[in-house]
Amino acid sequence: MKKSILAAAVLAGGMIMSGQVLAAKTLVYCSEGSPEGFDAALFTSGTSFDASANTMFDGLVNFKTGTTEVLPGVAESWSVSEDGKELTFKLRAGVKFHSTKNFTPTRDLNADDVIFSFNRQMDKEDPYFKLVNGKFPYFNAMDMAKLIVDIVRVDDMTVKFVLDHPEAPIVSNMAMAFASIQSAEYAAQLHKAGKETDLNQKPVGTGPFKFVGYKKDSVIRYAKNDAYWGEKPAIDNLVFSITTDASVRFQKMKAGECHVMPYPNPADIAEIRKTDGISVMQQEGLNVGYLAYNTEKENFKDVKVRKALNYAINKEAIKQVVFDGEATIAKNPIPPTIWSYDESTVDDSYDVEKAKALLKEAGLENGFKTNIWAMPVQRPYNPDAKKMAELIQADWAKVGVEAEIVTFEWGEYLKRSKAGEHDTVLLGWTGDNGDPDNFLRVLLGCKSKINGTNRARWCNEDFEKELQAALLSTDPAVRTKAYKNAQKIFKEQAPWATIAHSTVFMPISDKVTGYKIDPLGGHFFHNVDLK
Amino acid sequence: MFSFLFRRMLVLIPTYIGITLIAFAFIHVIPGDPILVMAGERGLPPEKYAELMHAFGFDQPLWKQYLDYVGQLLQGNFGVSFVTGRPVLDEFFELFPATVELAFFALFFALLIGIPAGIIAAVKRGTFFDHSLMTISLTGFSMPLFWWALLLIVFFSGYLGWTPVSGRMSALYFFETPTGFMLIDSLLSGEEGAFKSAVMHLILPAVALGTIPMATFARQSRSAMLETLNEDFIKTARAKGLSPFRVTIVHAFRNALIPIVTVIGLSVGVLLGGAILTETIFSWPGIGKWMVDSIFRRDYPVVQGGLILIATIVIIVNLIVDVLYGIIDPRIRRQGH
Amino acid sequence: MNVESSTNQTQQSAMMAMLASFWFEFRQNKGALYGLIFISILAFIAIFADFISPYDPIEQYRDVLKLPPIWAEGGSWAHILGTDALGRDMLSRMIYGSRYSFYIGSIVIFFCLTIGIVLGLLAAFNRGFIENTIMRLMDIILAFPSLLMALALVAVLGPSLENAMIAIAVVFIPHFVRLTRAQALAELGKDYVASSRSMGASTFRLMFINVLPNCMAPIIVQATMSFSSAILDAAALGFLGMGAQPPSPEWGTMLADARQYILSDPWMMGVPGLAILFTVLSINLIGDGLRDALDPKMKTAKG
Repeated sequence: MKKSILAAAVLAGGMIMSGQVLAAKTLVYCSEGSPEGFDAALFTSGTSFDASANTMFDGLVNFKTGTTEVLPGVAESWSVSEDGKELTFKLRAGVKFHSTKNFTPTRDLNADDVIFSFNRQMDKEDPYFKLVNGKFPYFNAMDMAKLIVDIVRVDDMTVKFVLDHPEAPIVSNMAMAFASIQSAEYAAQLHKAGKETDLNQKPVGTGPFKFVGYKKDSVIRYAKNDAYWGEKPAIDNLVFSITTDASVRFQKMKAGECHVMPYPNPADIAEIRKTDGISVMQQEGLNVGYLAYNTEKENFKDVKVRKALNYAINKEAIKQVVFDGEATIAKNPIPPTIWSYDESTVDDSYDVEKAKALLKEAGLENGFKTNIWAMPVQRPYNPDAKKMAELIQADWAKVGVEAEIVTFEWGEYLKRSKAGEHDTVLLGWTGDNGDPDNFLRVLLGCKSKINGTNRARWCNEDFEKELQAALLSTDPAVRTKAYKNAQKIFKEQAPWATIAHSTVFMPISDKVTGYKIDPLGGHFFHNVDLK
Repeated sequence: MFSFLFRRMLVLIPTYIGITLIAFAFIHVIPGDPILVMAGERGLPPEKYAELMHAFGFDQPLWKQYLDYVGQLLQGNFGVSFVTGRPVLDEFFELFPATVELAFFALFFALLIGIPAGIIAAVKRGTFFDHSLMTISLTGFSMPLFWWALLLIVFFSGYLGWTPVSGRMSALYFFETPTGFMLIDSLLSGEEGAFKSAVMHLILPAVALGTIPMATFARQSRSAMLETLNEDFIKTARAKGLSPFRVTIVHAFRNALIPIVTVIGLSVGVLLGGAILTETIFSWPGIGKWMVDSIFRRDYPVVQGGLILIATIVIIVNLIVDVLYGIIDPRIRRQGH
Repeated sequence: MNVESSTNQTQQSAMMAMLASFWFEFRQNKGALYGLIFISILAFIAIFADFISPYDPIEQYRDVLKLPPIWAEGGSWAHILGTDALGRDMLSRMIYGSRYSFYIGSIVIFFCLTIGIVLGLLAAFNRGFIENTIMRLMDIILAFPSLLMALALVAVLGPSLENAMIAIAVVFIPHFVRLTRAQALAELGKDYVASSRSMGASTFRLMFINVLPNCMAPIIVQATMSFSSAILDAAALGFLGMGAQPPSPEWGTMLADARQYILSDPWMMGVPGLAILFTVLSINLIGDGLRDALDPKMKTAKG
């Protein structure tokens, strides 16, 4: 322990040690908040995924770090049946769960662990289902219980998922945090001891790091998993130092108290770039921020009005003010990093005259009154919705449209906008698995109008046809073509003003090598080394 | 003394019922549906929603929910956090020592500087020292705390680099914290440099949080001293030729203690309120930050339980202050003579 | 008729004499005088904001975002205190912001005084059940740290300046009730109350005409101090995102807006912060002066 501290002090303070001490490498990550817990299936926030699935767990498949490409995880290989309704995973041999203070595994990972990890999220009799009253938000939101008819244990190392209907993105979904593989043996032990909550509080996984301890709202400590089946991490210790304020995080980086930090203030980025010893990595995020017109409201039934208001918005100003210039203006409802993105789309450029002309055609040359809903919280796709709303409000005023800014507490905001009480609403989406379906169907599909995630309350037959065609096919060419067509229909019909795809920034110490930004918004450290 | 205590405790019963009612009412008239907040942008199918409403008991009539809640409270069950799934009481006891440590040193700092400064100002009334001290303390008293805390960070941590920026302990150390008090635990851990790290982390937040109480103590002890210095028995003592130091400290200060103890008692509420801002800014893992986070996250059981627990602390402290009165009240003492 | 008017006159001249002696005492206190001057200037600015302010406080000048103030490098006379992240003129926002400070302070104090005094007098005049009920209720409110209580209240009511003011008033009222009750109880034991009562004065008359004016001195001091606390608490709530909402140029909200620029553009935080500090300090200085001038005990202590 002492050795590691000395070595770490060297790293942090930048002092030079004359060195027989064999340095243990400790990487400190200034995380943005406290995890809700360490069982990823129970939560939806990226903060919790970073602390659990992304460090300590594997899925049947994993995303290749820095991409949305799917790689084998604890499953070596997989196959899909002809009709797309059966998905068979062949498990990797010799995958070991972590040995921790309160658990020593007696066997390697096998089919039981996989079955347990999913069954507990849908089997009402499972003690872990009962423990949280079935509150598995991702599993529920994705309607997995309906999709998965049965999970069959073919043999010790083979598992077969029987599906209700074919769904193209299912393999990618298996790489998501909620599908992390838990140890059935550990769970059974805890159940016997009546300590089921420890599954969430003293996690055991198969991932590159294992859990050492958590001091609430303060620090999480991990150690390298020496028995990891894949490439073992180069660092010995990983520390999450929880620091909620972005300016304070940067101060800590500057003082050498941490090596990597997420979510800098957009305003600080120029300053961070100037700081010695720190560089800023960046990548386009897999997200979209948009303003949805409620197409069921009188004024917004007319596509001309929607188009007109699109022309009236000065997106360049939004980019400069809200994102400090660090974002990509959005023209499609999916981000450019996703496959099937339609490059040929022409955006509704800022053109006040055209907007006025269109409004006149729609018979609204004298303008009208409406509202803009702005969410009260920072989201990855929109760092400051109120500021954005203020800008749009000023823009629309120039074409005679008088908009009032409305905001509610976050939960209330989601509830009311889901019910369609808004005229126009600012919202956004961060991709879960890199599939266009995860954007287009969830946000603009007819069924989502009923679920409420389609905030434009827009249901277009032609658009829906393209989505269905893409969903039922596994041929990438067919799917790409269908999604491109869907994007064209979207642009003509303008149910949204697409605003921006934010850029992801990671200030990172020059001592750190090998860090890659994850397009899905996670933070991974197993490929990272310290100089 | 015991009958006095007993009477005080009896009065607490209706107060306590009021406190639970208020905490309960807060949560149940608060807008925002906790189940939808948990689901986020992704939403929830309606049948699942109804199922969860039922599971958490939100579909019961309010009065029944309240009675159930009080029943649980009486068994020492403060509910389970929506967010972390842990019992509220466990979380409270994990975080409470951090707040106590912070508030204790803030108070210590405030007393150490505030009271001597106030006494000296009273003795040297009308001098330059008196005037400047009163101006400084009034400025401290008028300081927007969150602004002051940020200034301290930018100057001492950012510009001078003397103190760490936030948190309680360098992230490089990791040891068991049996007491929860970092100063003690760091010594127990035997880790080299851990104690120093704990002290360095404590300085800025304690100064920030202690500033307003310090100003209050300086002002209060000055005026209390002025008043007693004017009383007859002090004049007599002076006339008897006792040394000025003896007159000030032994006679006058003892009598000035009552209003000062009152202010210290009252400042516990101020400290807990200030801890909300201080802990938020310094990422200090205590109950103030816990409450703010929980209010923003709509973590109903935590806000509800936290309000009751914090009110309990305030009440206990007030009780102690009342008892202290009995001990140092000069009338009681004079009667004894 | 004649007699009555002459008593009126004597009352008036007595009033004048009291005011004169009060002003004499108050003037002795240099700090209080400076505070009064600062607040008077601020009041002037607030009243004539429409004429003084160079720009509309919510108009966005998008070609000059985050312009530094005149004394910093790159400043411009067009925007003396610079502009904020949306290109709004800081000086104009500061000028209009002064209105909010008076608005917050006055409304909160209005509620505290009316509700606090009425409840306090009710408690003092109706000993027993009513008094116990009122005082226990106040105990309950006081058991919660005021900022926590206000924060929870605003979370219930929804974040807005009006709700923040209501929340702050609620947590301040108990102090006024306790003070009024204590003062009134002290007065009730005095001879003049007993004699008025024997002359058949109604309880209402006793409360508001006889007793209340004699309790006012400490209440006024408390009101002044609460005025400044209200500004501070509203700013703290604004800072936590639970106070005035943008684009209103309230100082606390401006601070919250500026917080994310604390490293890149620190002046954005400095200007409203200093304004709050000086305003609060001035009001507290005035409060001190009032206390010294109104509190007879302190007078004798001085003499």
